[in-house]
Amino acid sequence: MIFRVLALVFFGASIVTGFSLGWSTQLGAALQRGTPGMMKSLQSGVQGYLMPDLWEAVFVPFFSIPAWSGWVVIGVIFFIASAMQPGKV
Amino acid sequence: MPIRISRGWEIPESRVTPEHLAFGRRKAFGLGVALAAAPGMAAAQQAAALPAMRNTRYSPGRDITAEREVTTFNNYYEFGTSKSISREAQRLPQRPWTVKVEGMAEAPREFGIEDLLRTMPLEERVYRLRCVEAWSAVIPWTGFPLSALLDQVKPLAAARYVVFETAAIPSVMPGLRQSWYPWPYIEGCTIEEAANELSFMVVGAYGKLLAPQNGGPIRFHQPWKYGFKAGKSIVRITLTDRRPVSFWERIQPQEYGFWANVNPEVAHPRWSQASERAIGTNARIPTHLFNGYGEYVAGLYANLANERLWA
Repeated sequence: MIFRVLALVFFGASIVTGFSLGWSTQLGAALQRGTPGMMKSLQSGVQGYLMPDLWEAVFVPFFSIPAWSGWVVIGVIFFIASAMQPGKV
Repeated sequence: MPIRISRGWEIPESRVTPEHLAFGRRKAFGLGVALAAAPGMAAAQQAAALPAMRNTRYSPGRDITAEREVTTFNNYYEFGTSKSISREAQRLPQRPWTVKVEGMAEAPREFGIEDLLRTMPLEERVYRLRCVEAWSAVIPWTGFPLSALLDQVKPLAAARYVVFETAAIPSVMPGLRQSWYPWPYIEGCTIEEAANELSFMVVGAYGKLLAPQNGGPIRFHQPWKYGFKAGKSIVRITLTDRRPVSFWERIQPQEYGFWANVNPEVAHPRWSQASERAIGTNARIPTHLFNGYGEYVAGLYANLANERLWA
């Protein structure tokens, strides 16, 4: 039950995010708006301490997804978890 | 034993005048434009000669950095966040190209790059370039004083700042997909800084047209400031009475400011600025106040003690 409730919360959050920030706003843009400097700091950290090419290859595509879809992904995970709980038919 | 006596017209190879000096720069430039205008001739365009007389007033005091280092180690976020964007940047079309100079001016106008190359007083200046990331280079730029360009549009007395805008072309600049950065790239300086003799509009380097990865076909450079202040591939210059918020200042104001004058004693929040690595070498050399150009520019900041001049 709890997983299903959490899934609904995250689905709701995705709708709120879409309406409030715009459906095309990227996840990275939303994070940058909330915490100015965060994306550049993250980029510097990844390129300086992990691997320079990792940023463009992995992080840029990830942060380029629409901000609302991040909540959907989490919601889907909880929804699947609720469906896999013992006792479900 | 045969004795060979040279005839009067036989001149040793070592005394032959180099081709780029033998031909006038306008003739060489004409060839460059013709090559640049031809479709699919990007490589030829970069190789086109742009000879100009060197202005020896601005001696760098260090050896010129190898051309290969300067053209393969680049910051140009519109093409990517690594230093290896030189191939990607070749996709930036260099012709046709215009620069709008507008805003608070009596005679705002749009300049074609060919007109600028033909009419402006081109000269070569060997400047030191100091990046905020603590690396540096010495580059023979070809260009003309910014003041010569601004004179053409006659700035109004009320104009206090000059704003530079870099091209933003999504079809060839993959970096623009990162919408968390406030494109287009904006930089700016005061009208007094713009009028300083060191402020230079760059259209070439190493005796050639400026390569796209270095900001071709036209960029800006103020050698006493950190390199991020020098906008590349400029499409618009605006005279205004409002201080602009520049690209990096908007992203990370705690690390990048409006003035960004070089100062070895003011560290970046994450690293020291006391020394710099000359690219192409592992040598670290001391950084100097105003990148060593204090005699030309220190007076600009005499009454600005309350400003954050160094970051």
